[in-house]
Amino acid sequence: MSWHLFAWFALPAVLLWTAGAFFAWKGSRNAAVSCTAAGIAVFLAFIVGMWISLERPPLRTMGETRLWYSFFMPVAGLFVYVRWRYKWILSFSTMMALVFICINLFKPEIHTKTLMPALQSPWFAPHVIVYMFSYALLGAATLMALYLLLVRRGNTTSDEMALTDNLVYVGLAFLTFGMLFGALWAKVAWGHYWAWDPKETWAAITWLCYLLYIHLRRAEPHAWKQSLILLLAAFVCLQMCWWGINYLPAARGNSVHTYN
Amino acid sequence: MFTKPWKFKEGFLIGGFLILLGLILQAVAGPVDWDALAWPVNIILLAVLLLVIDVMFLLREKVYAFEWMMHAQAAVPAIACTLCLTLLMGLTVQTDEGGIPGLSQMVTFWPFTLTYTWMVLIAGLTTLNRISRWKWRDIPFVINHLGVFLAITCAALGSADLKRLEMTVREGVPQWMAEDENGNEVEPGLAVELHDFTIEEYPAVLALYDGNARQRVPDATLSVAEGTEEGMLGDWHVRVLEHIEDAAAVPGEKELRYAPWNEAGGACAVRVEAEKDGVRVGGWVAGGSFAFPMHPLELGDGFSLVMPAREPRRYASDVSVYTRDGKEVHGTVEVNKPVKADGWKIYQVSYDEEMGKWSEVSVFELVRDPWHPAVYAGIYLMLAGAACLFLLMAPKPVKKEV
Repeated sequence: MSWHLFAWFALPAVLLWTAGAFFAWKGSRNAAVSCTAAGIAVFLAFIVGMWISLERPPLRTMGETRLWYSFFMPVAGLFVYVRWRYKWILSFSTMMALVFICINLFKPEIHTKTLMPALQSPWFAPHVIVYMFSYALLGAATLMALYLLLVRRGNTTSDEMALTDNLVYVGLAFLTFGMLFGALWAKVAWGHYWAWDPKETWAAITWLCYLLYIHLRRAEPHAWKQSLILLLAAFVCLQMCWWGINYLPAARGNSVHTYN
Repeated sequence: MFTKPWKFKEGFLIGGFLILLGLILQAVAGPVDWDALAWPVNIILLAVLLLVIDVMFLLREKVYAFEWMMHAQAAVPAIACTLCLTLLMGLTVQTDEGGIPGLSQMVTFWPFTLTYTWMVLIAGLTTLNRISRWKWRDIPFVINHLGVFLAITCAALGSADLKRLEMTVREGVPQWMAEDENGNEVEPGLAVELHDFTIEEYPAVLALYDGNARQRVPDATLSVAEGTEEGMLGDWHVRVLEHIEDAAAVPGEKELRYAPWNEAGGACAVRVEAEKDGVRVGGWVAGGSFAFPMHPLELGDGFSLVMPAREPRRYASDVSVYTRDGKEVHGTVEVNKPVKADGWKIYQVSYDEEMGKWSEVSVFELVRDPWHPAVYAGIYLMLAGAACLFLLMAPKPVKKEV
């Protein structure tokens, strides 16, 4: 398996996901679930193939983490669809996955085989995979916040806010897993679980933002506008943590989390 | 203001007051001296903190502020203030000294410390309150808040007892001395003897160097593991005619050539033929070592074929650790696999990079962190809490389609 074959897996997957989204709109639940799941399987086949041919998990470069993000978007979408039956969620997740697939098709990054010793750890795969799943869920929560703020304006229903809360609860749970797996790994790799490295600082900032959201929702359930705006700010911090710190003057060259 | 019921405004005022108090403390007493909290000061402080929480809890009906602290109304401004200070940290270059006073050493900045203390105080008080009114459905709430309280409090208080030493060890010479962060010699109470240091490397790669841009052409690499016969490097078709894993440069008739070399300092060398648009260039390309310089192959137009330094796949030190009471621990220290001995963890940090795989020196970090179990208890509680958040705590599912 190599990146040259990516389009041959990505396009059928996107077509299947689009079909799934279409059936969800039409109310054909089984067809929606089967098509989306089939798309996920096709995409997963590429990831597994890459894993085998690279002889390491494809999690090192930005391009590789985007691969997982495009994979987890439909997984999160399917999860929400099955659990809460929102018929539009699969369209959202397909769109988000497509954006990241396009970036990987048009701007692939270095994909060498090497994996430096610091990354050779059983913690590597769970740490990054859990983070990517959380980013996917919180990405969906962000789209929901945008939709409620810009399209629905004053007419937000408690059901719509409940969905946003659900996405953040599950997203924050996985964000916590990702952060703490990172801490446990850091102890084994670098001797200490927390060192206020720029990546860690921004992970803490992101985590505190979502923590603030769930407390704000409990304290003031009717302050939905403020809560949704906070959700947008939280996602900006998440982007900073994910890739923005590579461009942030305060963090450049100071992070041990640089592997590209 | 401060009329019941208190809301966010009162919380932000308290947060603002703490930041102001922190700034005054910073000006008067200087940065937070974490080392001053070394055992037994930290355990006393923890006891005082728990006592304060207990007293606040007992007085909750008499003092309204304590009652208010147990609600999300108090948590929101506390988390927001903590978030602001952490955000400032993320936006400021953190250095050991210099930079912006206070902000560039955020960990020792009083407002940062006080806002975090305020946040964990609220988390602790809330935990106690929920435990006192025990309901099974509060378990996720309790473990989440208790986890945060334990992890942050113990990590902060324990940081004074954390010892990190660097030890440089030569093969065959037991080392009893190490250096602390300030470069002072310290006796950790154990000795490390290095029997053997080994590096496994990834196969050599060829890369394209653009002399005009003075950098390597991005994304253009070709692995030349033993057995590789040909491949594409950018627009060049490269054929490998000869491959010597450990080679030495020897003078040829016109230029250097390479021959097998079984002693220290041998470098990988390949004889190649590169072709692009009918132009054919041939010759040796070799990676450097401490004994031989790198050998590029000129391709014309400022481009050349180079072999960058090989990346290590794994490096490891076979060691014996001797303690003062006569115990001996034998093990292999490698990255991500520290060895435990006598309360210390020994980490592989570095080696003599100039000598590369012939290094006879290994650099270790020795870490001792007595508060580690308490912090981990907090982390495991937070993990369990996150699992509950995922499985149980999400508000009731919506049944109808929207």
